[in-house]
Amino acid sequence: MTVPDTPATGADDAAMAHEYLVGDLEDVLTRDARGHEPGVHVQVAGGRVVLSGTVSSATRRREIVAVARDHLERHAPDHTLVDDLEVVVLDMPVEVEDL
Amino acid sequence: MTARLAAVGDIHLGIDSRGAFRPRLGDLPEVADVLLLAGDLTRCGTAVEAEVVAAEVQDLGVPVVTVLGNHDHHADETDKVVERLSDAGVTVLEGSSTVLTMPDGSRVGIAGAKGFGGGFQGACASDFGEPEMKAFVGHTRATAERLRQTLEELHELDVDRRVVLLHYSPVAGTLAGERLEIYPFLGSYLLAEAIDAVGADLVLHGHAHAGTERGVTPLGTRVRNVAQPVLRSPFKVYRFGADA
Repeated sequence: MTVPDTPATGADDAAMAHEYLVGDLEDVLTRDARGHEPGVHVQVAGGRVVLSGTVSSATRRREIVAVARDHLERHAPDHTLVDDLEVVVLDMPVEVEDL
Repeated sequence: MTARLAAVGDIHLGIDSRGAFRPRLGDLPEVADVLLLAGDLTRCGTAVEAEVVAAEVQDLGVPVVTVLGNHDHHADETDKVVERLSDAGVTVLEGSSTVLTMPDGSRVGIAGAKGFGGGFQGACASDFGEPEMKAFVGHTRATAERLRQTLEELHELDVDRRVVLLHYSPVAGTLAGERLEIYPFLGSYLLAEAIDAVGADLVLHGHAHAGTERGVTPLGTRVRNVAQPVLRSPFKVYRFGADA
């Protein structure tokens, strides 16, 4: 393995910034009282921050998007938020498993 | 013997959830003899949220047994959460058990614990190094040991079926669908080891929203992940002895 003798710059910095943005936003979503939804995933790609995963209701979805939007406006205003969350619909019939 | 166990976990009720959960239970007393809740009843673990949960399951017509999940601990109001639930007639288990008599007279023992993380064979934390790491793994070890003792106590009571109710997963199998990186935060093999040491008929857990319903312990005990996002239904019924 070769170790670069110069600090990362340019594209490397951007990739690293993406890593931090994902971590920071996941942390904010976990700690904010409006968040607390464990099924939400954050991805950053091409200037977009994508929220995916499942949430329990449309209200929760709006709250989580609001938390993420607040965070991005303050810390990454050049990024666009993409809401790809899915509200869990309990549309499956109650099943019975015989053991 | 016949026993019908309705189960669900991770219902995550908040103060805006009043009246939302109960209607989903519908005719549960007609299809099940007990409701087992696999933790994460609340979003932040406040006493107020626990009151919402209590109101939703009170006077359901069947016994309600639960363990708490990590969310139910977040606000550091665990004692109040337990109190609110207990006041509503819910049996809250943590390193303890309860025995329920089914309509046909058979007895089902439920051993319950929240459990904790640590990971699974080949990729698990060990109690080595910093005090914080030892405390993390030590908590899981203590929880697993207490679960083993609880199962042994149930064994002495000569129940017809033994069911383990957890929040964290005892096996990696029911985590399939979750990101591998977070497996150590979703459960621990130590829980399965404790269960297999004594034996059980069924293990129920939640916590892994993106996981898979069905799994098995290394010695063959059925494991079911009943997190509501996995079931995608209000609850599921596990029935023993239907063909007896």
